[in-house]
Amino acid sequence: MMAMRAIIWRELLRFLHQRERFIAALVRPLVWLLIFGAGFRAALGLAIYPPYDTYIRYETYIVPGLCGIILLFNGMQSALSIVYDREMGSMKLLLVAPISRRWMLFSKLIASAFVGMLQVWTFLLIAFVVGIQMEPMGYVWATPAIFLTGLMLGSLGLAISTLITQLQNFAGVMNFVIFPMFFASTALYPLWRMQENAPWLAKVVEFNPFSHGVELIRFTLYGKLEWVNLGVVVGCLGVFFGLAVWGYQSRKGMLKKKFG
Amino acid sequence: MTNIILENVDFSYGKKSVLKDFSLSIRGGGFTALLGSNGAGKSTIFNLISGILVPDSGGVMIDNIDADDRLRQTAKMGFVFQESTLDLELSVEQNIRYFAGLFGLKNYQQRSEELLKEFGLWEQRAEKARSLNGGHKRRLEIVRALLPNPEIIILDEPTSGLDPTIRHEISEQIHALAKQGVNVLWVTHLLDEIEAEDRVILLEKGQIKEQGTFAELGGVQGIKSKFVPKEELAQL
Repeated sequence: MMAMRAIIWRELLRFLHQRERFIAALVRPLVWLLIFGAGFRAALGLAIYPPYDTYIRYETYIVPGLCGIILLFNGMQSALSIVYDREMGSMKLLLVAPISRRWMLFSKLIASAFVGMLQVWTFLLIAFVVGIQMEPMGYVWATPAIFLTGLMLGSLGLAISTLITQLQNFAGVMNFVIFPMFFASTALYPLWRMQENAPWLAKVVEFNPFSHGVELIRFTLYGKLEWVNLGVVVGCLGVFFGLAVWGYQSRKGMLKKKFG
Repeated sequence: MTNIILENVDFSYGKKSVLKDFSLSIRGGGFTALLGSNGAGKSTIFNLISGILVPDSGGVMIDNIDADDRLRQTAKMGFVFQESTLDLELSVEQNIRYFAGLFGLKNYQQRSEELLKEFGLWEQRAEKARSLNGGHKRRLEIVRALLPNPEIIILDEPTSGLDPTIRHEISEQIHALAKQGVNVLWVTHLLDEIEAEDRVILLEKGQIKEQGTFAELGGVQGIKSKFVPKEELAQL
């Protein structure tokens, strides 16, 4: 536990020292919310659809999706910092610490999800201030869902970091992971809309784990729980984390390539 | 006294074999220099001993503890890497606190104070690691490595990139530790960091070419003339 506390403490300090990262993490969803959201409100009509009991504004609809994008970027940012640490050599300190690789990665994951959650809370607070408000208890219910989704996306980042041998390759992650996951999800448009207009896309969206993370947050913000979403998020978390652990074993995976 | 033993180790990066049926035994305390030109396998051996890499076959034993029990092995060791492993955004004290947490050291403050004073970093303890000069950064890495009172300290080219005066000072401080009974393994390609009574293991293409004390191998001139390829003489 001491090692985990140390890793979380260091990640928090690192995050607090990087004010630009914090601001960038908030500006992105706020632009979506305040500009894109206002523009699309006029173009899109939303039906009454679970978990909503009444008509809602488009800005209200996209809030859970924007929480998701914060967590997705944060997960990839953590992966980037691991690749950076590995490239610079500072990862070696973690690798020689008397803790198991699995525990080291799990601690990194918890730290990443914790930092992601802080960003989401700040975003939700700003959204609240500008008038996009959920039920008060919804914020409480959504907290574990946000953390769990952060864990899933963080473990995806960890798994991806085992495949990236050079920092420059990280741009590919943006094009092949972040944007497809975000746009082919329920973050910006409800599933029923896609089922009407692009059934093939609706299928992709249904299989996208990011959609399930977003829906988990959306439903819990209204005090509801969809077990399928929870199951997919937990299942994907297990699979992604398993892949990351496999990738970081010394005998195989990237360590052998990297520290050669 | 703690022993480091590599037995019949094979190791390759993909199809490129680096070590084949390699054995090495460093028994007891003292200063051992692992010497060799680039590509001789020094850093691979360092990474195998530290547990970062695992051999394809063969064994790495630290004080009769097998590599399968890596956590017990690394608890006995201190490491200084060729690359900086400091977090430059953290202060000297915060770097030490992070390390202590990572290595599960509970009452490290007194030891930390002693080492910071011994290595001339006490005055800089609140400064960010980024603002330290190269010599101080290296010393901070050594302080961290010594914090758990390791029985073995292994250092991978710890003075690379430093000016000769600082290199000499750091080398002297590490030699003093060896004289106190710590088993020091110093990976280097710089001969002027080695003293006459130090044990030297000379590597070439993944094999031990020669070993003995520095004096037995003929000192700087002896090693240069017998074992070092001409094209690498300049580097030494």
